Amino acid sequence: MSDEIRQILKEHGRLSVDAITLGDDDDLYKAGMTSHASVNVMLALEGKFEIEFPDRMLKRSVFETIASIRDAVAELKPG
Amino acid sequence: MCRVTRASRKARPTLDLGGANEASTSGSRALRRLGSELGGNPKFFSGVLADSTVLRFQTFVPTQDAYPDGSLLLGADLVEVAQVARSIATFGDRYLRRVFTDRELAYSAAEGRDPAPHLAARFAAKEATSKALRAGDAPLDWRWIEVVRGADGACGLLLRHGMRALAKRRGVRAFQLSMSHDGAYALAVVVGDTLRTRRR
Repeated sequence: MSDEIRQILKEHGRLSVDAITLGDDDDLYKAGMTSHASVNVMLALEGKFEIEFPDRMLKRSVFETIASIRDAVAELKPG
Repeated sequence: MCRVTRASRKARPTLDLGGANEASTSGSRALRRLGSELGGNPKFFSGVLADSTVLRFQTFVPTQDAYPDGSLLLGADLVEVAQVARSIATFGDRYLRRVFTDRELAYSAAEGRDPAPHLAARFAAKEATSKALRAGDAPLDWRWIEVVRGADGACGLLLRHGMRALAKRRGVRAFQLSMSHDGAYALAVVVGDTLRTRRR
């Protein structure tokens, strides 16, 4: 799942570094992701994994690292 | 709140932001008392500018949510219009409906307008508001912050749910909003005002 998340970050995160090279715990905001870009990342994740982020998960910390995104997707994805 | 003082003829000019400074025992006591009452910790900073002006100011780091009397909370944000246009092209209604309210969408697309610059300015206003409120890691649905227009054309903010509750916790009772867009960029500046006391 982490590789799929990296691909979404590469396409939508507007990072200043190649998302493929990021570690699971690297700070995505420090890597250049803006709040607006995080919206695009969220929408792309929802489309890719067929999930919907509830209000309680629309938090900065949920989109802060690949690991935190992976945890959120795992919690929301059925099965 | 901001004034330049001279303690003596030989002293360097002092820019004193906020009243008490670190050399003022009575001021420090007063600030500690205020901090104790509000549950926060006063912090002092000082520095010397290039022209030898001594800069002294105090800030207040709340350990509870409310900011002290007379606080102005400032937020600003800049958004690239092309990024909003790209989001519309990529995600369409999913993007528009997750970020903007019906009123914001109606205004931005009215009278044959290109919606992207207007929506970019509105996103900047939402982000600027979250900065002004020190939203941190609070849950934020972007539609909880709405840019509204009065009959006179002036823009203001309407907060809902979590953002309304956060503004209340911060003690912010009024907002001022200014937005602009020109070419590639749109920006917004937001000031939250506690309105608790008349400022000196």
